[in-house]
Amino acid sequence: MVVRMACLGCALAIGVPAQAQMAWRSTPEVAVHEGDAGAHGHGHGRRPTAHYLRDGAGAALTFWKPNLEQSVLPAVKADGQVPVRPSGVDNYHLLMASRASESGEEVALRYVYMLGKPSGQSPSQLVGATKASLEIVPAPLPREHWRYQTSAPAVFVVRYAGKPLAGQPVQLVTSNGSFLEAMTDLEGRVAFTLPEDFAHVGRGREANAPAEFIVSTSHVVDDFRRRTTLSADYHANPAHWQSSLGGVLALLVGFAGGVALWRRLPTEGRS
Amino acid sequence: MNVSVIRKLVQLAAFVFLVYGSVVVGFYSADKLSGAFPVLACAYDAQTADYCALIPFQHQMDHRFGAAISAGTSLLAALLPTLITLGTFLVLFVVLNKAFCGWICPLGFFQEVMGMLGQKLGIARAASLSETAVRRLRPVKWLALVLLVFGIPVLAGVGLVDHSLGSPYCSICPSRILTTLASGNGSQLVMDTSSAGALVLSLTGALLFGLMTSLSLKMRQPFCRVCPMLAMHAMFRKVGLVRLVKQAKPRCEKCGLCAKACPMDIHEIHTEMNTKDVTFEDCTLCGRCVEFCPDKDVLQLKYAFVPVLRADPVYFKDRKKAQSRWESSNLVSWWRARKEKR
Repeated sequence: MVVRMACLGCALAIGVPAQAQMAWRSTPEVAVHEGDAGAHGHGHGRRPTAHYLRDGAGAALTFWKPNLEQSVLPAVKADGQVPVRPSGVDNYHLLMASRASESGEEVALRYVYMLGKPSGQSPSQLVGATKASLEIVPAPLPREHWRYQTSAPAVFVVRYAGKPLAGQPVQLVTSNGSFLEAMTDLEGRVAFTLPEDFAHVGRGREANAPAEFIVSTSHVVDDFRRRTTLSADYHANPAHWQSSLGGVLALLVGFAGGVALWRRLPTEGRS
Repeated sequence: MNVSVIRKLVQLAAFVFLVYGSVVVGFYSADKLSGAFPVLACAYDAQTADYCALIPFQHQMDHRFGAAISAGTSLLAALLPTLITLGTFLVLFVVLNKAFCGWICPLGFFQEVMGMLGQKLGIARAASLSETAVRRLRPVKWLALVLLVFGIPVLAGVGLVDHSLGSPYCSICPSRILTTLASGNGSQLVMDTSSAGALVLSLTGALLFGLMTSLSLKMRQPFCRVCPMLAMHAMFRKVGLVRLVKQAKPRCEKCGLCAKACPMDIHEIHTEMNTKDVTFEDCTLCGRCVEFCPDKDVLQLKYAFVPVLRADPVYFKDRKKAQSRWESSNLVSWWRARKEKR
């Protein structure tokens, strides 16, 4: 697996079509992330949540529930907004936009978490289902106490016709301006270490709004080009306001304190 | 093979399953066994097979109940998820009662392993804590349950304390550090400087883990004595199917081996002469008292009404010999023997 990294400007300069593809976002195109804590939609609420589809003119929009039940979403508004009503059940849902022409097919995917009654379904079912011919699948999706963050790996599997696609170039661009490229391995797996590209990092989780990344790839078979994108939020690494050294030192102080207490414990034989 | 060895094997299997069990049950929250397990199986461990019941309780107090008080909405509706979690906890708890602590809990097992390590290193074991010391320690677990699992999270939900105090017990729980480290994740052993509350809690958690680890080398089950999960178990121990039962005999008054064998230093197992059900609030149903009782059928572990372990004089003699053999072989005695040979 090969990973290359460059700034987005360089990526555009070398002709990588990273910004030209249909992709879901949780903010309008003009959004600025730093210092915008709390303004970012996560799809976690019970109220209708606005999601945005970039370059989505003419796309068919599908909403997948955790049990794989599908429904049609309203058409994209002029500003790219797509209002999504919560399904009433919890866990991951999928937003899917697809558009076909004579020369090719485009698909944009985004997994959104919603609250509600227990769905009784595992996200494995939604992730495992074949939704498009060419598909980027999170491996795994974030879950409670585990999410995409900078300086940590984000792993995906590229599938074509439901099967892993080896040796496939995959690009990752972030809303903070980074660009990465890598190739899938024999199992169709590709891992990116998310770049440390937040310009300002505040202290604490609530002080930092998430940014977004878009993973994309395209595959040509018999002159028919298939392109797919997957977008998701990622967060500033807590290492910015957490110190492992401090934690280890506190542990050692506690350990020494315990040893000091040994003397105060009566020592006798036991049964 | 004696009961203590069987228990260690069960604990080892439970540790492996609870810490790395996502390989079997699946990675996502929806895949976990119950989401309200009656032991400290930590949700911060990405590979865990289930979540401890204490984490949903804290989240529900913070995000639902406290928030409902603050917003003036229906408290009953806000408590519904808590009741579902409690119901799930009880369905599981009935099966093994407090034996979840003594046979399944990863943190309980870790402390026992540290105790074995201390013994093999030749560190002299501490004697049983005095009745006074035990009596003074007992309220701590109830305070931890009331304040850290329910009280402070409600205050965080209402907005009276900083939101970083929304799950204060998890922030100091040694099992969070143990199970994440065991799964190769060092992200929980940190000093968090994001707020004063987070700083205090993160340092307390790391200090507590270090303190528990070193104390475990010398004394038995130091953290279990103050664990809020033990308090949860104590509240519902009358509904569990496993019980510790005593049929006291006059010899009991002079013996007391059961209390000495008890890793939680429950002196009442020895002194109680009237009550049959001696599953006291601190009991973890490990069965050690039954093993070390020399009088036939005086102490019994019963599953519903069926005895599964009975005190027996023959077993007692064998068990005592095995314990002496175990305690006599350690690093210090090996070193002395080596020097004498020279």
